[in-house]
Amino acid sequence: MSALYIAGSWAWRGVRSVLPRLGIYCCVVALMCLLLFLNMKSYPAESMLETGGTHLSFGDFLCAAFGGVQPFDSTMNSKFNLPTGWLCVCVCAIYVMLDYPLRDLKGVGTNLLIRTGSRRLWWAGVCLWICACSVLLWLCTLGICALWTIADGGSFSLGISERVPESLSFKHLLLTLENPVVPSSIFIIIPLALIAFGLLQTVCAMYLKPLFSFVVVLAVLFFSAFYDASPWLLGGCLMICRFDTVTAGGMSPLIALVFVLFCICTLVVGGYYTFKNYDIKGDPS
Amino acid sequence: MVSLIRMEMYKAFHNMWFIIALSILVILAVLTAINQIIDRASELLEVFSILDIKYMPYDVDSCFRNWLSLDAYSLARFFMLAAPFLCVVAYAWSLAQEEKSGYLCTALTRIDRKNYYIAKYIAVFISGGSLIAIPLIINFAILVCFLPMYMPQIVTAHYAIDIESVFGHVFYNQPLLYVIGKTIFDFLLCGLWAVCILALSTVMKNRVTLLIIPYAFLLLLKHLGTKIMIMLRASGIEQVSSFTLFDQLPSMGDYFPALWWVTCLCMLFMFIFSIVVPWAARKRDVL
Repeated sequence: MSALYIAGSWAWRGVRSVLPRLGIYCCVVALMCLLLFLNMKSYPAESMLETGGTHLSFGDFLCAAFGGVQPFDSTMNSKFNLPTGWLCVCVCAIYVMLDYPLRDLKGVGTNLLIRTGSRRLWWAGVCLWICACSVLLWLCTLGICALWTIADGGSFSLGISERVPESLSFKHLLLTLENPVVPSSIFIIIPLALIAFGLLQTVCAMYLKPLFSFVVVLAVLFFSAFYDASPWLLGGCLMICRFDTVTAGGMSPLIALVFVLFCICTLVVGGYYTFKNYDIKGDPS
Repeated sequence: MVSLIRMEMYKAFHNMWFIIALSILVILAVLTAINQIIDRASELLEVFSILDIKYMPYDVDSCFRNWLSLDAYSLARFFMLAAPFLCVVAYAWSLAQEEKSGYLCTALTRIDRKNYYIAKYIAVFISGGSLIAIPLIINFAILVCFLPMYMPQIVTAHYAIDIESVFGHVFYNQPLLYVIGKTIFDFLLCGLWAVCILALSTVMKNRVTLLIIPYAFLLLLKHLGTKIMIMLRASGIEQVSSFTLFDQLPSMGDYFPALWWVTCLCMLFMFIFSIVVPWAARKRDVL
């Protein structure tokens, strides 16, 4: 058996085992789209026609899932409101990739690892599995948004309708542009950011436990929502409203892409060296 | 029964998960207090230099205003976001784990199932509640050492506490009593939330799923609740209240206040849930 085949088959087994969790994620994304849809339909039809039509576009539904929140401005004497919708989608996404590698390592995974005799191969399998899960999560999101767009009769454009930022609570009086557009590079940045989060979680789980690595990722997501529109907190790359096509002075998609790639490379290398010294029989619980 | 409760309490307070969860929350509480003290000190030095005085003038920035429960800034908000998760990480999963490992089968040959559940219920309730109460007390104790206990004045409009929220009216008359009352109230809320997860553990076995799905559900409930209440308010209904832990644990909610009677109803619901689910699963085979 070739090394790639072994890593691939391990990753495929992992993908199949997380399908029920993927179902939960899809339900949550569909619910977010439904909430946006109901919220927009609750506006009077006349006011919607004035602001550019009553149907929601593909970009609007993408914002329902990954819209995010504007950075908190403490000088404006306002309260910070938790972006619960965005946080809920992200929590469900990271839950899909939370514990499979270490759970598997307590059972069949150990036997596979001994048979192949290569820790590098196991780590390659984990990386492949995280990539597959992230791509699957993103494809599900796109599919659900596309279905909602078709159901509502909207267009497949990436433009954001005028009332959507207000409805999703990411409108900033000073920062949000007049004609915001979802950047097309989001189709690469979001799946890559999900991969980075999956890797971060797995590496943290090797040092801590999967549940405490979840707290670490939750902290990164929270502080990304709280602090300014820089890509240095990875969560910013999962928020459409933080990009410069939506927010004045927002982050450039190119910088976000470079940063996410840098994070992935660091985590792949760091994860490999962590796993190299990881005691696979150390914790029987 | 007493020895059973004592044993469960020992297990609850001496396990690694409890210690790690408590450490995280205490560190956050201490950092929040330090952050507030540094901020207030720098503001005070500025006032000293501008007004050329050497005493502390009357200020709304008392230890009450800067208390963790009333703080609306980053670390305090993260504390309130992480608390519902960490208070169940401590011990609420133990029943599922004991059933999985086979410990429960051995224990139930010697102890009545009902008594065992009651002992577990008490231990989970107290450990879950302690996880929020201890950091809140530590935070307040640190603040009291550095900031004055000025009486909060409602006319200054610097306090976002709604008079309709839990103990809202006490805050402006007896602020210290408010701190004690709110700490006990948060203890009860987190304790009840932890026993709800314990109740769920009679039907769900995977520890990660058991702890994360209810948390994601809380987030979803908050999001749904906010959207529904915005619609209700738009249709002219003014008396709306938040009904999730994220708004009930701090003294003020994000968008809407958590009215005291809605919070009490939520507590009653959690109590009933924690009794009914294990009662429905009382005849389930543990083997």
